[in-house]
Amino acid sequence: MKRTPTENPVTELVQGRLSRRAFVEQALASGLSVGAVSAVLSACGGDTPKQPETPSGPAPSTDAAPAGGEMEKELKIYNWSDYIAEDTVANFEKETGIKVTYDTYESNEELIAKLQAGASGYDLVCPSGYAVQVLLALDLLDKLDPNQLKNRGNLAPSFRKTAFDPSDEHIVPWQWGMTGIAWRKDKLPVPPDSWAIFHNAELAKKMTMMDDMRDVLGAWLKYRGASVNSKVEAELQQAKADAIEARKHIQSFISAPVKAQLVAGDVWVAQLWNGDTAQATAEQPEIAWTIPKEGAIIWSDAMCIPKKAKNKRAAHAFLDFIMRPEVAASIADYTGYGTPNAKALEKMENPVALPTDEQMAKLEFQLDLGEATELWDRIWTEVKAG
Amino acid sequence: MSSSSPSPFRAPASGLVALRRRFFALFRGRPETTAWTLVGPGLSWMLLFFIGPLLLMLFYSFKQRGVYGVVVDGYTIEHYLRFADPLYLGILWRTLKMALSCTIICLLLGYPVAYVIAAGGRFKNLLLFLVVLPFWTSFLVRTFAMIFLMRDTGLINTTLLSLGLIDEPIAMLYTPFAVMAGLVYGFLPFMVLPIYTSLEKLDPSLLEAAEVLGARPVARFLRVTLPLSMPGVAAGSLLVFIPSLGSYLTPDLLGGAKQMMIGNLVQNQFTSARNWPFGSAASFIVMALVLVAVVGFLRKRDAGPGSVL
Repeated sequence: MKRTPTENPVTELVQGRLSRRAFVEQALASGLSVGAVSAVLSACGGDTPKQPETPSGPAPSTDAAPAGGEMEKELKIYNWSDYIAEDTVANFEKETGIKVTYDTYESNEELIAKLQAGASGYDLVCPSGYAVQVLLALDLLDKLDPNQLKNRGNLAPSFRKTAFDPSDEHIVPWQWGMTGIAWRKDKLPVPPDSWAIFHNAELAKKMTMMDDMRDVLGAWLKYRGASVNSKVEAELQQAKADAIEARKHIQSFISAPVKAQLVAGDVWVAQLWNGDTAQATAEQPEIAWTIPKEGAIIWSDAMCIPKKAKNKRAAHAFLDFIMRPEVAASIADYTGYGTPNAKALEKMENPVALPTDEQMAKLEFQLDLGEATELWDRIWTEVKAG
Repeated sequence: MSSSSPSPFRAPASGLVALRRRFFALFRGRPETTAWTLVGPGLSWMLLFFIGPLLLMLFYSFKQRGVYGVVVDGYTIEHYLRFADPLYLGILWRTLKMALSCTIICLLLGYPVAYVIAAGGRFKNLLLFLVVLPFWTSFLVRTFAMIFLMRDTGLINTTLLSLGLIDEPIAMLYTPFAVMAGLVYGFLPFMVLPIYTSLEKLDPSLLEAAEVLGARPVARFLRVTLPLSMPGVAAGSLLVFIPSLGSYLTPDLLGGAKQMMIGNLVQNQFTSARNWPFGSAASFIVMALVLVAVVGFLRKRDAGPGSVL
């Protein structure tokens, strides 16, 4: 990762990279009035420093915390596995002196279950959109303090005020992706432009759909022009019929592990996320990815602070850190997914472009199904029971 | 208590010794205290981590479902009634058939292996070692290895193709055959080991007696060896049948998640369906069925001549 250049003495002071004395010198030199400087310093809670100043180094100082309290010395993050650049946490620790504990999980349900059980150990979690809704409904998420998120302006407008957090008060979007169709250019004469490809008997046993009720039924709902979040029984029954028809032709219901089979050529057409497809394309250039003409699912995972978090200021510091363009770019470069950070796109070698308005019109965010979950589950069980 | 040394440095040790003596004095002439002390740790462990969660699940199975998971106030038996749906009974029936087939195949494959190992010979230890060897890696890793063996471009198909034995790959992966192969592979050692233990305890003089009395090899096997190895067969069958009834990983990974088993149904209830009470109820129904079958099986056996599991 590129080292951050000095952007702004106030930010640097807040992040603990700048000692108070150096800040005063820099700020005065850059033309701020003495009154403004002292206002910033007192806003930083520094009238009675708890630690002696260390004028020469970026050592962490508790008095560098933003208004309203001290910066904690530790931070516990709970995120999806393989979902962050290898040096992100180390760079944050080096810069702030905050000790980070980083744990991972494999499913939203695992995360929800842990927070529901009353786990208080985590300061930052990264649920998907519909899981954000569940956590909000369960009143497990805290509001963010916008004053501590100076870099929020870097985010693309399409990832602000999303359907799962309309007030935009609880989340910082992390990565986003789409569930479309991955295919082998060397095996198929024409691109699969419709979900109907999975009803094509000629490709029997060469196709897979994801092992996920929301993705499979969502695709068939889209195919018939319905919402991926439909709660209408008739629409869901039609999606069930389409899914059962597809089940006859597909080789299996399989999610991420299908990548190896696409690369090997066992599978020619797969319902898959764009990021995972990009990882497979790196190994086998004949693999392409497309959004079917009927539309597809777009999802976004988002960082949130649980109500029971103990290190909320450190959590804000981390959120602001990852919204820096170069940090967001390095994370997205590593994961292969899209970054919601518009400024980061300029710094990336191989970015996943933000969806165009035309694409966005065909894409739909997954929302929580609430009471309809039971109906969905029954229909999914019927599909799987065959 | 030791009185040989007045040194203050010995005092704590003497205290400890005294404590130890008093502790062991508790057991003198009280075998039941000794028994409880020996059983205690294991029993507490089971109570805390086996019976406890089981009771919690039983409690959950009668609660109302919370829309966002877990449970909410109010009691109901609707989750048990819901299971009577042909949809769920069909899944249960398929799972039972699968588990039973797996048990029979394991028995047919495992008995001869156990017999050969128990017969001794130079390779006895090596064979036993090979039976236990798969446990050195995780079941998940071994299941993934089976995917690499069986897929279209996997080891089996590429070998057969290059030998010219087949013209196009045989579809093995994501078929019921693959699920059965995975289950049998995974559970075979659980059949072999108990049968081997029974066969090894078999007194060779009984076979000699049968031979002297004129029994031919087949009769000796059917009338002496087989009945005396039945405890091992019973233990092995239970050890295979029960876990294969609850398996959910193998049908997902090797069957392509196209054939839902009862284990997958329960798993979904606790995750995507967020219906913990129904998942708990389904688990209890399966558990009750297994319990009834096992108790019935054991009773029938106990009624038979001289058999102990």
